[in-house]
Amino acid sequence: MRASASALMSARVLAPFSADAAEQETIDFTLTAAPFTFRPFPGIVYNGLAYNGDIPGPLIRVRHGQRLRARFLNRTGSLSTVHWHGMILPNSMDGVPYVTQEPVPNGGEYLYEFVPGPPGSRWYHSHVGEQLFQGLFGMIVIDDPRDEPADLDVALVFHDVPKTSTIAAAMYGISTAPMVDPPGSPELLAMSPDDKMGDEAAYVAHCVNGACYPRTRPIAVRVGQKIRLRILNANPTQTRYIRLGGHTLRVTHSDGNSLPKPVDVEALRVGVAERYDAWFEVTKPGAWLLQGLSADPMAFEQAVVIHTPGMEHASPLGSPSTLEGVRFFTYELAGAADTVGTEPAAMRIDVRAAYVLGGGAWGSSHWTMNGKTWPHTQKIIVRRGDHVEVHFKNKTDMHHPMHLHGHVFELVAMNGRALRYPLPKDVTLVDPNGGTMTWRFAATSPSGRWVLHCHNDVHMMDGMMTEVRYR
Amino acid sequence: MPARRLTRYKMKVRFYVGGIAWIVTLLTTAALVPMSAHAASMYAHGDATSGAKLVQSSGCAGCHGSALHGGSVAPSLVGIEKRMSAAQIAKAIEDPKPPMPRFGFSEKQVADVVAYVSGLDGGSGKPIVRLNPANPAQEATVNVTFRDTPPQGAQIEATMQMGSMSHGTGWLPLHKTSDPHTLATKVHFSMGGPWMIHVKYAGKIMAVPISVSG
Repeated sequence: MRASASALMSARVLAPFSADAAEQETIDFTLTAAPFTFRPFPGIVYNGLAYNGDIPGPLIRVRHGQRLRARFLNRTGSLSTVHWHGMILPNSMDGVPYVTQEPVPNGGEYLYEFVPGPPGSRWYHSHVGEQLFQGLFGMIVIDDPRDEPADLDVALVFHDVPKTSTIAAAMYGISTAPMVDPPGSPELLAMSPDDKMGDEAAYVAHCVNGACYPRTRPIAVRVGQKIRLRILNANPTQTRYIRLGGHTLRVTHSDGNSLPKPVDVEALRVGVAERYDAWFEVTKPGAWLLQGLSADPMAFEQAVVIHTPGMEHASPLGSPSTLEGVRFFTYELAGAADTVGTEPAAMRIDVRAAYVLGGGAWGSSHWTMNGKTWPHTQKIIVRRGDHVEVHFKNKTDMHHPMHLHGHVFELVAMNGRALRYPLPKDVTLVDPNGGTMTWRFAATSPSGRWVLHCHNDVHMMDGMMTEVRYR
Repeated sequence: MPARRLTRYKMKVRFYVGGIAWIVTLLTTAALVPMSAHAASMYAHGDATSGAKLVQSSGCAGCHGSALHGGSVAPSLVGIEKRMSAAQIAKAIEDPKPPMPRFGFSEKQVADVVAYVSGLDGGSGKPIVRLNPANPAQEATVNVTFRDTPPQGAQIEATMQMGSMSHGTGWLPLHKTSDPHTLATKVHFSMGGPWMIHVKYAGKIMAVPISVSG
């Protein structure tokens, strides 16, 4: 099998498809997961895992309609799988161990073959244990011929190097990892002074596309260009706030799906596993810093320079690490939540499910849905064609990035307010301390078992997972 | 820009008087004293407490290291006022060399940051705050060293801001140590994250941002 040079890239600026790559019916490649020593910054040496010898794994790019055939070789030393996040695909290709497939043993292989879709910015990662923390993730872009062409199309993975000991401590609810959300963030506002943060992991380095600033590869742009940034937060536990010095960003896609109405913001809010496509126009020469905002003293590492010709050696314009007074992306803003009533539009609903998200007390290793942990959680049983509504109420003090496999749902209401423009997504942050959220979707995906879980991997491993099962 | 005027003026002075050392000395001394005084007066109005907050929210410690003692990317800022004039520090902030970014600070904000970083080692007559351990997890001894005899009734408070709400230790009395210039107390941090140590002494309050690793 031969990887197509245009379909599998280590560079993060998306080049136009070559005629050869665009005409192929099938993109064939091998994805090998193996131990990898990651050195994103002087003094940081992390013994992790990588796909094809790099963190993040290769940027995979396909034309909508092309078939993908990925031969997965597991050389990690333990069990592994590949989950194709945000895809509607045959259930046996979904990569959930013991649910959609037996995990691939060390030394074994598995053939993932499907037509990737829907189009947009999606990603792939291991669905086994702590392997997402360890580096088994990458981005996949499915070109949408309906999209407005960008002058420059850039894939940016924001990711972090974990402090290994804190992952297990977080799972047992006894971690003392620091609070690093920036001032003015909802995460910080949700905290109370006596909170002990027992369930957070700590990170020792913060990266963009495999490096820390100032080692990140700059992005060269020209005046007059329209730039499309495809941003993924691959951190397994923390929300990222991302800002480009001196620019507003026009957000057009959420989780790869076109927003009903683009929204202009000064900063992105990217929950765990979320993707946002954000555009800006270069109107003058300069150098600017695209950076993750956080209160972590090392947060500055998570930045990349964008510059015009001749400004390679200029000092880039940065942003303060605060959200106070900053218009940042929220679901309410994108969905115009303040303009309509409390109830989403009336429609036929065949299956309703309601979950109270709970657990996570200090010293507890349980995060629950209706008081139960996976595999004992209440399942959502559907027939093909059913209209399904899922409601969450979060009684914990942490945000939960709830994710549904194999579907794109609509976020129709949250915190007692309906969205005028429901947002098409595959993962949404449910607000803490009584926050609510309502999703709707049509059960039109291939039959099988589609897990629904918190994408904070500590919470998922501690039981916050259920499934949508087709009869 | 006072910094640029100063630089140009120095160059002119050196060009015209060439190698006549005593005239150079005479002229530069005569010329620089009023300029430095001008620059100093401009930055003397900086508010070190506001500067401390700006330093914390701008992520300076990311490159300049914990407590700004130097990192793998950028040098220590402690004692910077002995190496650079206030005008030079201001220029380094407003027109930095990469990889240091520009932050688009106002003149007032630059003055605040200059005031703060110029006092990190007590160079501006303020006490020096040191933590033991330097990178605390849950508790630390906060040592406050004064240039002269420590004032009576000095106190510290450690706070963490959570949006509009802050929590912290409340004011804690500082106790004498074996060093006659240093007072100290033990502080417990309820969680990791960005904290601020406030020192109240002789009717003044000074702020020092710190990072608690948790």
